[in-house]
This record gives sequence, structure tokens and C-alpha cells, in this order.
Amino acid sequence: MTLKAGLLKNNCNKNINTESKGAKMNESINCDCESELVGIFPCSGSANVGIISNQLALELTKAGKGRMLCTAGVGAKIPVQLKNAEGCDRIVVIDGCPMNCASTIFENAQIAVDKHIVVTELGVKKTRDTDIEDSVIAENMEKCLFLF
Amino acid sequence: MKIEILGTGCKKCIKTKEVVEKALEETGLEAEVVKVEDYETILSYGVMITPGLVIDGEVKLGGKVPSVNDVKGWLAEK
Repeated sequence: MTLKAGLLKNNCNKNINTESKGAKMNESINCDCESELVGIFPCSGSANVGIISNQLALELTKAGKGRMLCTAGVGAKIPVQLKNAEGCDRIVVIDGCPMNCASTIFENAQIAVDKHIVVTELGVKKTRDTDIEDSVIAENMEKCLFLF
Repeated sequence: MKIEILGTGCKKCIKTKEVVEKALEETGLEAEVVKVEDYETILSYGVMITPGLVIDGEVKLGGKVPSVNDVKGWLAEK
């Protein structure tokens, strides 16, 4: 029997690691698997509140509160996207309005949601505006952070 | 058989490697084990959270450390 498991080799030109034991892995890139992984899934709808949900997910990711992931991929039941969602320690869904499209996607996929935020419940009226003021994002970002 | 461990290097990535090694040892199977640290390659599999595990091009897991039995099950499918 020949075990090759200890003979890890890198298949890319960067970050070469030649150590087979102890797995001294590259630390030059921030790895996201040390801490609790919070998946943030916005509805990304076309109304102002959907756009805001998307923007909030991005801002929360930038703030280090979690990682924005693909809600559409879960809706389409793409296997690897389902695995991404299932691999999260916590799942936060941000819906724009009470239609709750994003949370329904998770319900249909039978993946439990730990926190459900609805933008209209934060006090934003649903409109067809597509130009979202930075101040609106900032104000609702604060509310989201409080909910986290 | 080719097993790819996707991740940039941390406890969970290292643990995943250990689990794969143990599964191979217990099953007596041979496999080429490759560590993939390049994000472009990781993303090309659609894996957004690491560690990930790919066996013969098929994503088996993302974001979690598999159990030895998980890996043995996937190996048995081959």
C-alpha cells in the first residue's frame, strides 16, 4: 500500500508548500476558516429595499461581520452553493420586504436561518427608487449591527 | 484518484488533511492529495468558504471539516 496523503503538493504557482508533514500552510492570505463563519444572504431584489439588502450584505462583509454569499445559487439548488450555505456556522438572511423571498429560498432548501432581517422592518419604505443615498445605507447598517 | 484540499491554511484546513490521511490509511486506498491555496482555483470550484474538499473534480464539502467516515463514504463511491 502506498499512501500519498502525506505528500501534499500545491497545484498553483503561488504559495508553494513543500512540507508533507505538519502541513505548514501559507499564511500570507487571510484564511476564513479560523473563526465562526457567518453567511450573509441578501434577497438582492430590484426595489430599493432589495438593493439596500444587497448593499448591507456587502457592508457587513467589509465590516468583518460575516461573508456575503450567493442567495440565487441556493435558490437554484446548485450543489456547491448549497454546500457553501450548509458550511456556515450561522446564517443571516436579509430580505428587503415582507415577501421574504430570500428566507423562503432557505425554507425550500431546508436550511435553517439563524437571523432574519427585513429592511422594511428597519423603517425603510419600499419604493422603486434605484438611487440609494449613502446615508440610508449607513443608518440601516447601524441598525443591522445592533441586530447582529 | 485525486483529492484536493481547498484552503489557504489554518487549523480547519490542516485538520481536513489529517482526516483525509486517516481515511486513506483506514481504507488502504491510494490517492494523490493536493493542497490548493490559490483563490482563483478555489473559486473556480464555486467554493466560497474554506476548507473545501474535492475528489476527482467533484466538490464534496465546503466550510466544514469532514469526519473520517464522511471521507470514507466518498472514497467508497469511487
